[in-house]
Amino acid sequence: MQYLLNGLPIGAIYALVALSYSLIYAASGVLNWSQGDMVMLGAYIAFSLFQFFHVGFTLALLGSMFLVGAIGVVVQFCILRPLRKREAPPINVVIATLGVAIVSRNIALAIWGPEAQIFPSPVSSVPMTVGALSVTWQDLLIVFGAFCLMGVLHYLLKKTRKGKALRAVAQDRYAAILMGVDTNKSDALAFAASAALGAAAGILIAPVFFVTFNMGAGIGLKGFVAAVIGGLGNIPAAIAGGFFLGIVESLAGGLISSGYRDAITFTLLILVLWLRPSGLFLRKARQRA
Amino acid sequence: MGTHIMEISGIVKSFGGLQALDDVCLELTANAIHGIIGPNGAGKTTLFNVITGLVTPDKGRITVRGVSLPFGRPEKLASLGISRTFQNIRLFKSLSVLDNVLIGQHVHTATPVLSIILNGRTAQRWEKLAAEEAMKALRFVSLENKAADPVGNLSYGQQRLVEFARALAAKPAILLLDEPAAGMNPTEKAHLVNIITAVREKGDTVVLIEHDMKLVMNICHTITVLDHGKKIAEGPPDYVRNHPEVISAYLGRSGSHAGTAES
Amino acid sequence: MIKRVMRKKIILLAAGAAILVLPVLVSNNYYLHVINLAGIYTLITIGLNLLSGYTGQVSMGQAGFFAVGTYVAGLLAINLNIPFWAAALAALVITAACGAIIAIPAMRLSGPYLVLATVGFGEIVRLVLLNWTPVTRGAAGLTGIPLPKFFTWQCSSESQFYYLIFSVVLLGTYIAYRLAHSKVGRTFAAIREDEVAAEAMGVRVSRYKTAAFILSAVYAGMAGVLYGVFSGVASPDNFTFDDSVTFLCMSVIGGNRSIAGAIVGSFMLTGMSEALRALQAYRLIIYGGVLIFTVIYMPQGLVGLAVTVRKAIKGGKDKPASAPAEGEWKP
Repeated sequence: MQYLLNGLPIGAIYALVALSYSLIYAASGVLNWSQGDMVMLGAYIAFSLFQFFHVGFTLALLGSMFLVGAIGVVVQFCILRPLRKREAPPINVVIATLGVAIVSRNIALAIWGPEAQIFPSPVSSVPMTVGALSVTWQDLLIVFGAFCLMGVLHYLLKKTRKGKALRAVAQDRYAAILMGVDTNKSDALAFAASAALGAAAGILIAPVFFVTFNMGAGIGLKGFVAAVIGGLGNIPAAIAGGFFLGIVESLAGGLISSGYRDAITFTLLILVLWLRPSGLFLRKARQRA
Repeated sequence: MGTHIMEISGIVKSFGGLQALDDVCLELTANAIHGIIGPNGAGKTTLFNVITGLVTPDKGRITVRGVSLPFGRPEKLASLGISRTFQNIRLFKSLSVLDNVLIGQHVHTATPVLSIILNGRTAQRWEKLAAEEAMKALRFVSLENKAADPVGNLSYGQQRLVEFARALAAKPAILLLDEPAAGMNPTEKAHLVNIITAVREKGDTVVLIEHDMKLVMNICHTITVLDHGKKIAEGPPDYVRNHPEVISAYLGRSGSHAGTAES
Repeated sequence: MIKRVMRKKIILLAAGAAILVLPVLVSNNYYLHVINLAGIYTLITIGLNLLSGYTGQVSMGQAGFFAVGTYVAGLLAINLNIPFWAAALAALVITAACGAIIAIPAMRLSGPYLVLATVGFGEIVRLVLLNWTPVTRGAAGLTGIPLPKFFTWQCSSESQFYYLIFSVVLLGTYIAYRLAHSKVGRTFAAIREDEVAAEAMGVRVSRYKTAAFILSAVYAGMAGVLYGVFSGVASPDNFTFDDSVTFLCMSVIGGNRSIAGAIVGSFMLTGMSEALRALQAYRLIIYGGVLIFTVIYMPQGLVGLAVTVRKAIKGGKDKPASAPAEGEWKP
């Protein structure tokens, strides 16, 4: 049971990253392998905002989200647009985003150095015990923060004009173009939103995680796995997938073996891909043309 | 003429709530040109897909020369003598015209891998044979001088002909053509008519789905009409042309098709 | 007047001679070491080109097959003192089996799902190697992999390894080239372009896909065997997801639809990686930048670029429909 609880905060982070993957995939058909590195950049930028400008937590969060979101737009503009214009094969797009990941990782290394940074937290990390279970304020903050962000995203997608345009593009890109939607702008928005979400995820998890230039790789991959397990391209499925993965990981690590934990995760992934590739939490298979 | 080369009986297929094919029965006469027509959504391409293994029917049976056709196994069709073209051209875009047509020869070449690796005489012989057959097919559609060109460079009508040649290269007894004339100009259509007639004169059977009524009435010996997944008429062109149900199926649709009636 | 066919043969002969005498010309051991490493990676990339470039099955898990090759051959040699060729053979058989196994789920997958499955495979292999300590020695890895010995010839110096590695590379290149320029290669390409159409023409797609996976696995496995004896040591850290990514980059940057592309790609990236070493962190930034640039502006890789340029130069001249007759000089 404790494992279940432990799985929630990391599950929330996976959910945010998975959501970002699905958002970009649904909106522009791209797999953004640098998503995990947006998480890393978010944490680092917020850290610098703390250190050099002495801003409060919320301001650092918003500032970092804004800056990383801007980076997302730059990536979309400089890299995705030319690729799309040249009708590049998907494998090339994958490599391009991998290139972005490599570059961001090493720029971070160059700026902030190889050592792990300690991230101050606005709440205490002292565990509280309720019966046989223990949880920290930090864990609660992560989960709460994640839900807030998801709520904001939900509002943006469902109620705002740009959000509706994005959803239209996700459902049928060609039809959306015919209706006058500027797909470049919607792509940029998807990238900005995903990057910002990633940044927020990074800041939320930074106090309890090892913040290094490399942290994006693991989180990015797991987030992607979660998105696919849930059902790629679908946001609620991605969120469910994220939490599912977090909990399964926690259970596997605790009950079976911590060394083989990831091997179990990946075996689960391959089983899902083999037997139910559309995802565990999607009712019908979505055909992506 | 007169023997049945393919017998289709009782094909039923629904996709979710949509009944695509409802107890469709057909008999294909050997060495004839058979047309399948019907309004959009009648189930024509679905029928093709059932025959060629892309869609598995809920019920029904198909036999070819008495042998039962396996459902859902498209790769078995070529060796059973059935070949097809597609409604939206499905060519291998980045390959040359010749390479595209060569794939049609796939089941007719039994090149052993070891011979390939050692560049042995057997492999070379098979390649030569396949190339000859492919060029024959290209000559049939008068595209032999484009053999080395990347297929993407050809015009739409020419690409349709390449697909035709590819299907021919598979040396089928039954050739299924899904809207072969779509997007062609009158000259190309005339050329197509010549090719289809020549195929039939070779001894093969041709089945085609088409929307171009003139073409269909012109070259088909028998025409089957589908509407909403059901066969509503079948017979020679004159019979079908004047059949009241056929006319109403095409013209008598109420509601959204108001204003398209022809006199 | 030089006949066209003769010209090709002269080029091949010259290349062959150059390859043969290279260790004599390159006296610097460090350079030879890098060349040897590039040769090993070329094997992996050739297999990857066949799988991903020709057949269109993108794989980011080749490091897994690579690792299996190293570990199986290495462990057999260390524990049971089996001679090199026997250990290599066993490793190839096992890697081929791995290829067949991963092909089963992979067959039905495409796009991101396939990529993820291959990533999963690579990671599972690495984690098993890391955790199955009694057999694989866990994080410590293998040490003291014995040097290969053929009858009386002991392979130990850089130039000796050069001959070993490049004999395998030449053989591998030849086999891959023959396969690619035959019905097999054509069928692979057809599957990549349109599986449905290929199947309609009688191609047994699942069989060919499995063959492609097994081929790429065997190539990577052989590379692994060579890597084990070449470096003498190996640990799970040598076979990470990042390595699979590197192999994919070699494949795409060189040009994944040709065998030559594999050679170009692996040599270029290995060379570039070493050359930029001095720049430390900035090296990978440049590396990533080159990657992005290549993939946007040279989508068919360097070889693809060369082909395009050559076509553009030749494009002005009228080409006859048939190939020139033997003896006719084609500019």
